[in-house]
Amino acid sequence: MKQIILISVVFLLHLYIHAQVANFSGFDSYLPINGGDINPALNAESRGKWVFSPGRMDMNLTNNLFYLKMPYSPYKVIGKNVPSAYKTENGNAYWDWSWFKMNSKTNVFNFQGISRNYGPSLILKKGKYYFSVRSEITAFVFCKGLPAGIIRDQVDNWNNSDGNSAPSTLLNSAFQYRNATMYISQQVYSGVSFGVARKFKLKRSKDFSMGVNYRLLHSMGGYYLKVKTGNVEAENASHIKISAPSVYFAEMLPRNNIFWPHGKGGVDFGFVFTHRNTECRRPGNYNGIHPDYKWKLGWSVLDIGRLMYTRTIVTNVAMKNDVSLPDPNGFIDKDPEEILQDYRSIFQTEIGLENTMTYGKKVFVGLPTRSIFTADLQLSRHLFWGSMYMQNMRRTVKNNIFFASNFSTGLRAEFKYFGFSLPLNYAPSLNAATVGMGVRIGQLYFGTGNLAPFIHPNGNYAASFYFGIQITDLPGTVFRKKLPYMFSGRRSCAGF
Amino acid sequence: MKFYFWFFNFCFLWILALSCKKIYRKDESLPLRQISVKTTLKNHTPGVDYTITGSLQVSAELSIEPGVEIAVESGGEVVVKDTAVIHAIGTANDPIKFTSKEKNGTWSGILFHCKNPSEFNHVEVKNAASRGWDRGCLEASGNAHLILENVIIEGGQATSAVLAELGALVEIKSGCNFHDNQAPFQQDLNSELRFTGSGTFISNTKNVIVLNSSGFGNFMITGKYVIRKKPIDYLVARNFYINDGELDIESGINLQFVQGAGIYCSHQNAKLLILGNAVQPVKMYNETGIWKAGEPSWAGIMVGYGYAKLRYVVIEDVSNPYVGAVTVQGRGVLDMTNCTMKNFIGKCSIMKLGNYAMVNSGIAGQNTYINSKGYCDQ
Repeated sequence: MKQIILISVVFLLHLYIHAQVANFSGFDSYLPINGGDINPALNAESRGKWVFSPGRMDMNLTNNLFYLKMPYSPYKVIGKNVPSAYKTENGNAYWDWSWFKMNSKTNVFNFQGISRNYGPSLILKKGKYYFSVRSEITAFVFCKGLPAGIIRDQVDNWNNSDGNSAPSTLLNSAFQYRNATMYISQQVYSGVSFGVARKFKLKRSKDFSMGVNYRLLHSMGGYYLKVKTGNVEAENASHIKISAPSVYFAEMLPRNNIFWPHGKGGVDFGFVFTHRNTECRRPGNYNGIHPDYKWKLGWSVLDIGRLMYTRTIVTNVAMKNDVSLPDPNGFIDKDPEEILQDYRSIFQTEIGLENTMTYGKKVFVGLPTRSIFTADLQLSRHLFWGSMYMQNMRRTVKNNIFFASNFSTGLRAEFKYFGFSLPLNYAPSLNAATVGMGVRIGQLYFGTGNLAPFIHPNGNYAASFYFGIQITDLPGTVFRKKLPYMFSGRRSCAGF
Repeated sequence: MKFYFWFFNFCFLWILALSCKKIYRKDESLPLRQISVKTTLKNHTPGVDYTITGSLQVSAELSIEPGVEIAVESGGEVVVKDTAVIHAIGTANDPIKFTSKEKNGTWSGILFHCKNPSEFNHVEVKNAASRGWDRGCLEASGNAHLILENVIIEGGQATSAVLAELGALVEIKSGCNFHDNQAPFQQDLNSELRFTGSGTFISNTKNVIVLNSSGFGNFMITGKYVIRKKPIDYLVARNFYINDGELDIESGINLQFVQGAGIYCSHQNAKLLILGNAVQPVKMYNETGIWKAGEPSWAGIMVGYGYAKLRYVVIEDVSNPYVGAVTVQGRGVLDMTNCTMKNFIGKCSIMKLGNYAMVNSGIAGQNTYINSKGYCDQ
């Protein structure tokens, strides 16, 4: 048990990777259950009549402040290959909190993560349509724009669960910073999504798929904190611009009633356009379409929707309307810096701030809506090159969660019972690039977004992990029986 | 055919889920913490929205929106302090409710120890209990100002549904309904119950305004105090001692007295004016429902000093073998006409004691005696 906890801590703290939100394994056409997470239309790209997944997990986390600096690779703990110098008398791995570091160069703390845990999921082909059902429990953790100095100042007592004191504590610290806007949020919800997708045959050698998912969500709790610091901008005494500080903190308590009185929902939709060689128009798999292609373009928008909470305690700290500030005329002969200091002292003592608390207010939290563009080239029958760009959306919506935009590209090998991918991930806002790896063996698949911790123990902040099980009726004997020429003649119609 | 099969299956499951939603309804209430900042309570769930355990201290503005239901555990209370106020504004369809959390539990009411006016409109307060003698389900104390409109207070086990003491002002506007309480109201002489609308006061143990002092003493009147007509009777629970002051009782008022209570003019400057008229006489009698004929009664009026003027006053059921229902003695002056003495048991219903006491000439014939002996000069 101790080892499991240690591995968990190492895993959670050893993070610097950006959240991919949709992992690279979704490109694998033998994993349509994952493809639906990138683009609902990919449900229609399934090679089988049905796909069932008893469970799967996808965890991605990011931060740009905390990291581990260990004398050995943390993953050696798993293999019990910890150097003897770092073992306790009982032979267990030794843990030293001093290995836990903060990057001194980080000015603004960003943290974001998602843990998406799927229960039983199913894709079923019925006629021309692919129907899908997915169950999930998802946890978002999200922090953006928080001055790293606040963390450094308060890292010792940061574990503050009191909804009343958290905003004011943060506010006091935030006064040290000018015009900063920061968000911290955590949301947990469960949901059941229903999807439908269909493939349309266009002109020769072209196919078009579209799909949509609708999710019923049950919010399970969380919080949302938004802080805007006050500031005074003054070029001279006659031009003073005051921006009021404000704190918004919503504490969302779970409901016992699980029948969606506390939920709302989300919608995903997407399109996939596929271009093939002409000879691929002959019957292929169950779709009557050959699975090979030249290139495939996709566009999807995910998580249009919001969570609803009714059991909430919302705290607002904002400037009162009738706040009285010193007469600017009194500062005519003063240096602007002195004026700033005078005004700032007013904010710091919280004069003119009004603190309000609302119990039971309906609070909506926007899902992390994002748009995903995908491009996939088939280089040979088993080799592919996929690229994915995720652009976050709805940045300006109140109480919205969003993730850093990122880009992934990489080679992928697909076989019937084996798959392998080697993606390169890059998040511009975090200026961090990582190399990941994904493997599919039979019905099992797993992968990571960052291989670095396996190779080098120091300075690697990052880890991501996903694994799952999928059972499907892969095109087997039926396919061979009906379409013997596909396998007896040319092995590929992709033009290679 | 398959489509219909799946469609009906889907409908069936949906209906099942909705049915379960109604059956499966657990406690969804939010616990209320100490309210020290401006706070709003919202109606966030169909049942109880909030629960209070122990004493909820309110020291800031608290707004309660329509439909909010607050359940208080036994022994719990709400205390509104200092500059805090409560704005509990419900609607006829969505009243605000304060109830006991336990089925047969009782809680200790809402105490207003604050300065600014609090407003209750379309609010129901149920099963609030006493924390001792002289307590109310809604209790305004000190400089508290409470405005009640369309308020229902029922099942209160406190001394009264609404209590005003130590200078508080309670305005009772239209639509208030107090029933199944010990008494609708209680006040001391420093406080005011201001009725500006109609209300119903039924099925209470006593349908009266209890006049009681906030302490253990009697009413000592040193200034001018006027007992004004209210929609229901008064019950005087203490003796009135008029010192250097004046007590006026307006016409049409019914005053019940507890056993032993009475009115005493006990200072040379004391002044008692009970001025009824032929249409609306003042009635003074024993506490109804408690006193029985033959038992010791209320004490009547004693004018030892000062001046008393009685017009159209009906004085009933005084039982005293030594003095009258109205007695003037010492250096007191009594001016009493058109009054009715009823069911007096004793020597004489109007009695003058001593040589220095004075009564108006013809007092014996200017008043009416029913079942009572008349005037006598001892």
